[in-house]
Amino acid sequence: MKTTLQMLATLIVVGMFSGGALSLVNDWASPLIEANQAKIRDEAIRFLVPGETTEEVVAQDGLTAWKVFTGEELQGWVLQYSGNGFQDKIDIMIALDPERQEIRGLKVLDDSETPGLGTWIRLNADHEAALTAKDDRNLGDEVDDSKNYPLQFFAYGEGQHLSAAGDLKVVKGKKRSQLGTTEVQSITAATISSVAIVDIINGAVVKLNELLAAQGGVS
Amino acid sequence: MSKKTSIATEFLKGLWDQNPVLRALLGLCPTLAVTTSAVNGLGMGAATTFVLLCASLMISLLRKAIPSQVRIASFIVVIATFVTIVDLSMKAVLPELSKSLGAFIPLIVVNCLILGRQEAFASKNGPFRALVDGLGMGVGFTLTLTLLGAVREVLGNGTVFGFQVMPGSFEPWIVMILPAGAFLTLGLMLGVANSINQKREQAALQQARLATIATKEA
Repeated sequence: MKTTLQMLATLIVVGMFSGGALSLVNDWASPLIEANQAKIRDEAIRFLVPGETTEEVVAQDGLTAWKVFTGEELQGWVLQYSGNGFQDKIDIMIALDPERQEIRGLKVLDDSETPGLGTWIRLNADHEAALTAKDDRNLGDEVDDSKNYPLQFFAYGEGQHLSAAGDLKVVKGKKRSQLGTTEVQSITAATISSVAIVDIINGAVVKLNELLAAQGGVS
Repeated sequence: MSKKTSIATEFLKGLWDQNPVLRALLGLCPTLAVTTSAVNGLGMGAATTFVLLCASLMISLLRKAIPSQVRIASFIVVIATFVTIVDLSMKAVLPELSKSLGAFIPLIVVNCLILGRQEAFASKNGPFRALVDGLGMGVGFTLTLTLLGAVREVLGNGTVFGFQVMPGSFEPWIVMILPAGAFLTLGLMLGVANSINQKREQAALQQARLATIATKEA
């Protein structure tokens, strides 16, 4: 009996100290963790919609979108969304034009895709978003067709962008200049990642449109 | 563990003779999974060392108060507490590293290296010795993981700690940062470690023989 009590007492005391310590550390860490996440989101918005902007948050059912303004003028929409990738969730942010007809940029916030293959979804999205931002959202001549970017977003004829109607599909073996506005070039040896990111983009724009329709057709 | 062992030996044994990865093959799950770069190896090693040090100190201080029937449960609670502290602190202060190490930080709880040291050493020795033992093991684990990560990063990405070391014409061997590369590199490292140890043993044997002959002749 004495041993049993001693065992119980030990576990209770150890558990109490452990709980107390964790509660203290959590009190200190959770505001910092939240600040880090907010910083990552802010940087992604700046990256997708360059310039001096202000944002207005539109959120519902776990979906967060931002209306991005310069002064009074609506610059576009940014939306955070996630879906299943090859091994784990892929978390993305995408930017749409003010009328929500075109995709203007993509940033992969988090992924666990295969290094060197599936991770091209992140590298290429960053690369092209940077190109787009620099070139006033018009890739034009800057695109080198002889270079094989593993996954090609936003690259079609002059001034054209990917469709934001939720109808994107993955294609294989086309040249950049031959791609239509609903076509995304697949990454060689990472078809699952390519299809996954395109599905996530499609899901995101459909969700945003549903959300806005539910709120009474904000545009 | 004999009390006669010197403090220096207690520390040094973790670096080579009882190196957790190269000699004891403990904690191989994080060893193989996170060492895609030198920074990841160093981060994982540092996190594990911190947990090992704190847990060893705590268990050693509590070793007389914990009844042996509930010792494993108590060890796990203590270890899990420190692991959660590391996880939260890393998310707060080093979010990038925390992201790249992912689920392997919480999984330090089940790293048999840590529970193994508590059961085999900290619960039988005083706090100072337990700390030195934990530090030695932790440093040995960190060095091995950093080396493994550096080798994989050089061949798989052409960089070490993010700095370009290979010429621009170098085509990265992507397989080295995939799981197969972890097994290949660790296998070669174990081979080298074993061959060094074999040579040392043979040399020691040879010396012992010579010494015996010398004594007989005398």
